[in-house]
Amino acid sequence: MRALFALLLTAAAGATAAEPLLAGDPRNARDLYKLHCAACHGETGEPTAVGKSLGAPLLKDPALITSRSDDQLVAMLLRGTPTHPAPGTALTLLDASDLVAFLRGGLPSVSDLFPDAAAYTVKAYTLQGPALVRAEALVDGELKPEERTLTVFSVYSGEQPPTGPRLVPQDPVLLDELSPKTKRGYIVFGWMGAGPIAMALAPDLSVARLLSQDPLVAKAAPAVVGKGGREVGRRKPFVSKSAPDAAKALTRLYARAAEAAAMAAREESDRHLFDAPEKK
Amino acid sequence: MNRRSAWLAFLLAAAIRAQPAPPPEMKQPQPPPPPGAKPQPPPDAKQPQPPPAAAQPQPPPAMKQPPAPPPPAQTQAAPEIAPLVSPDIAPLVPPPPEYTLSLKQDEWRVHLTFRPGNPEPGKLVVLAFDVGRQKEGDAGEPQPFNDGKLALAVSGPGPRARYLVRALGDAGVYGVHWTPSARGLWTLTLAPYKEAGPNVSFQVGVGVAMPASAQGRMVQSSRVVVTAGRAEAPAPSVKQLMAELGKRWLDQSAAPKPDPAELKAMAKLLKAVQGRVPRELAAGAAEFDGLAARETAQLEMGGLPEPQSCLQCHLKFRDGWVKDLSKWPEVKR
Repeated sequence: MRALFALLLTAAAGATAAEPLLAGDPRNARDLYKLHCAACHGETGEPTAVGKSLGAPLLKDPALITSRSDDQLVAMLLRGTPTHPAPGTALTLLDASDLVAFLRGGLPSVSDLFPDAAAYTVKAYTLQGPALVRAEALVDGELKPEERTLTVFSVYSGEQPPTGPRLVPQDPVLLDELSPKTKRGYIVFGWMGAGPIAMALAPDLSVARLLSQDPLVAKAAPAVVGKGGREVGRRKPFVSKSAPDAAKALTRLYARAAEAAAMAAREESDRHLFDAPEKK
Repeated sequence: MNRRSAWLAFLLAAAIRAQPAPPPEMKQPQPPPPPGAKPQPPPDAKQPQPPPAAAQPQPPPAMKQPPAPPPPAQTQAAPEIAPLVSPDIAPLVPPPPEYTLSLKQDEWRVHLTFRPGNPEPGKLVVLAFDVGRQKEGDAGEPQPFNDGKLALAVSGPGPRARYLVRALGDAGVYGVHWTPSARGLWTLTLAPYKEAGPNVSFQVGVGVAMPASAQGRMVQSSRVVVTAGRAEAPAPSVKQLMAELGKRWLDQSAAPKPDPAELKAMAKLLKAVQGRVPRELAAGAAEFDGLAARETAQLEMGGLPEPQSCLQCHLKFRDGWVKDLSKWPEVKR
């Protein structure tokens, strides 16, 4: 009888542990967003007229939210920054945590593209010189100035924190602890129509995965996933008969992504150039 | 026979004369007394015997004369007991009580507080855990448990969920927000998701009484919210007024149709803000009052202010973020 009870307890505990760990209370966050944020950032995350005049960013941009840690976002909400006022003094630490979880919800995350991700780094790269020439050759046109800068997320596997992969800041010591052997790939975010699109690249810079709510992306995906590579000769414009415009837009994103990710890979290689062979 | 008839008629007439008079109110309707006059006892009520006619004071002329038209309200005599009035400002209502619970598991001591103490479905509950550790044989207070990786699992009449419990800054103190989705008895389990920590369960009644098994107690907040006597009650600060206004605005914006009574209450709250511009922005007092008056008028007309119009005032007078609102919605820092 005792054994049976123990078994039942174990089963119950297992069921509880299987529940996803929520980082905040979504209902409270929705109310707080409506009260404190929506007037500038809009109900859907798209800035209002006042927000635009104050330089409010697009909160639907996954790169903007993913490139900041929970602690950074909470601090910004509680204390404000030179570019963002604290919403009155009405928020508590728990309120701010609820809001951060709410802002992350519904956006493609690092875990969505690399389920085994444990850590990631973020850095923005600006294409210039030969990299820009190569990218423009692939898109067969000129890249706009705002297109020349792209944020690259480098993803690593390892022991997964229960709250999701951790953001490793650009600190030389912390970056050195990330082994190239655990590298899973790169992520870049772009826009197609009104929605964001996430593109994951494998370490060899081929397209590993696409994530978007746009049905055209799903149509174009067979012509994109698995294509491309580190060698410039392997990078060719994507062609899709069912979604030609989507394929063209994805080519434009990939041309920038491949060059920016190559720059990230070079930096990492330089960082570990003098590592001991066993560590490498 | 005639003599008998005449005698009977005489007796009947005498009997009619001797019949008691009907009560005065049945004789003729009396006009209502003037509003300021003291109510007169009914004539048949027992009352103290009047003094002799010589010593009897003359009744006031108003009592003698026919009822005069009611005097204007300003000159009315004050009632002896002031009528009960509700507080002008809603935040004076005392906050709901807290509920505390002390739990023990092996060496772990968890002191739990949740506010409000009577959770309702759809309303936010703030849970705070004071987690300590006291090994067998240790004397004194439990040692605060820092850097715990804790999660709160909830199960009950609604969907199950597991929340990350956050350290709140003080040693051993953690907290989490939870909005119960349904009425009934919920089981909450505080457990570590990583490494060591307490593993304790307790039950919470949402919209129902707390279960006896919880063995907790209701605690009224120790804050003084209303002092005795209305005149001494502290005036709510602008921050308190705006917090209450925000809560009400949120409720009304979620409702299919705003409640006119609530809008009036909100207008009253906003009116109380007028004339209370932040000291450092005193030069903009007229603008501040104008913005508040504009929103008050809208509330009084039955309209709920838009978030944009609230923001207009907040950006300048709360956050100090914008100095010039003249080109609204275009603003510059």
